[in-house]
Amino acid sequence: MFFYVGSAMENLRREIHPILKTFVDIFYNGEVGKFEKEYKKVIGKEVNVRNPSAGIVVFVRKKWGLSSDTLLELESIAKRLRNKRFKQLKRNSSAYAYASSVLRFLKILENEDLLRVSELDFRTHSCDPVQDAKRFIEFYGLNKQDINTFSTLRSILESRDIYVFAFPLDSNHHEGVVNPESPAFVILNANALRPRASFLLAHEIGHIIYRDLGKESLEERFSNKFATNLIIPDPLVDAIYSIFKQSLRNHSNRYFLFSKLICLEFSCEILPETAIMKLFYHEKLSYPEMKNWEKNLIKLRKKYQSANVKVGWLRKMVEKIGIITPDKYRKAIELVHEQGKISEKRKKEMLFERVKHALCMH
Amino acid sequence: MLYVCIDSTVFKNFLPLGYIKELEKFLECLPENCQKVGYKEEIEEILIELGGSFLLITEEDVSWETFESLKNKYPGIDDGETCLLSFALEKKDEGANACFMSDDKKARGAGREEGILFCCVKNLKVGGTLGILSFLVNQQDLSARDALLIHRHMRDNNNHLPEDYNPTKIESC
Repeated sequence: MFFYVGSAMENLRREIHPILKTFVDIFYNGEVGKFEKEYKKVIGKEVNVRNPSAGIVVFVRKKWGLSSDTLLELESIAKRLRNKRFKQLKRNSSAYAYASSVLRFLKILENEDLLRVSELDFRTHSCDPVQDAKRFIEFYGLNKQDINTFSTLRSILESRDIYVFAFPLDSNHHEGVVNPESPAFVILNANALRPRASFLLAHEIGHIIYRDLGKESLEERFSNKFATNLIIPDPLVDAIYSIFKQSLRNHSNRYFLFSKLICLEFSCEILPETAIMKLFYHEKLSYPEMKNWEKNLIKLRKKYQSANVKVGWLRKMVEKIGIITPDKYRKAIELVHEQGKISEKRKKEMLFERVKHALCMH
Repeated sequence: MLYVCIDSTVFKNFLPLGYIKELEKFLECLPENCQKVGYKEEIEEILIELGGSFLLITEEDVSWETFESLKNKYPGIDDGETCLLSFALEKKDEGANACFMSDDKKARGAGREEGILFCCVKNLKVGGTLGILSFLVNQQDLSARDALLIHRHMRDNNNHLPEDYNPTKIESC
């Protein structure tokens, strides 16, 4: 306790340049000492926090494979970004870094009239995420009889100039973030599982819709419920319940059988625990039953994630999303390069081509 | 001291055309009061092959203020170009002389906007080949490759410029 108070007082006394203050606040929870230590480890030199060189650009490049644009839009993104448990996300998170760069680049392309950027036109909501999901499906003419897949949701967003990216975020707890206001965009974790992609994207759409609720925990719950009901329309409940009952008959292998049948039925576009959540929302399962199934399904999948599986459906179930760069965004950058407005190197910066080689990937 | 800040685009345009000898001469041809400056991340490997004493800089060698100001003013230029331009500006503020060479028109435009030019245009003998090339690149908005072609023409034709070249800009300086 004494040490905590002591170091907090020390931080208050020390003068720190505004750009570093924002950087340290977002990524190091205000702990300057922690940042100084990591800077020395990565760069090999001490940082002058009062009057820094542009060396923090080198730090950002080595750590995340990003350019100086990360720093230039940092303050702006800090006010806009929303995601699951975003206060926890702030600590040392690449999601903020990528979001900051994406925001900057979208603004640059918008200024050059090379890209239109927008926000979601479906904004009004009731306080019932199940009804909101149905209205969303109607509003955008989505599928009522089948899974609304990641590709479908992504096309809806991108037809409205809301771009969907995926980068390798530095924690598996943080699966996605959204900037809900124009230029709106979503960033998913490239390390998340591909069958979970539809739920994650639908969940971020939920954050756009429920961003004015004013309570983080409520926004989170609503976004989860909205997402489940958006990607799994009600007519599919019977099929899922039938699979559930079939799995119950096989007592020793029920979780494996349920996972397999759900994956085969829906081409691995949803994870089995999302199907279980849908049953729970439709009161086919009690809360303890749902939690028990959820726990065991996740435990089973983690076992297969680390194994070298050869079976087709299992491999699909543990496949990762991978890095995604939206086509329109990529084309806009190619065009601005063809027009001679940016160099080859700048084009690579804007396409995040260094991301794979950064420290956080090692 | 004259700091000649050379963007890696210059090398990337020399090398594919096979102008290695010209490039080596270009690098060697500098008097003592000139310092070649390069952006470390991009040209370190190129220099291993070519030799030549470069001062290799990174963003750590320039202030955040200068860097940020240029980056906000010219969002289209990359970090390496911004770093070299920042260095050139800061050296000028310190009272030294600096110029910036790039085969990228946008980066050269930014340099021109910031008033970074070859400082001593009266004496084309300063730096020899480098002097003419720097002058031509900065004053005439030519790429280093085009400047080299003009220089070769002059070398092969008793210092006569190409017929379609306008010499008035050299004389007026």
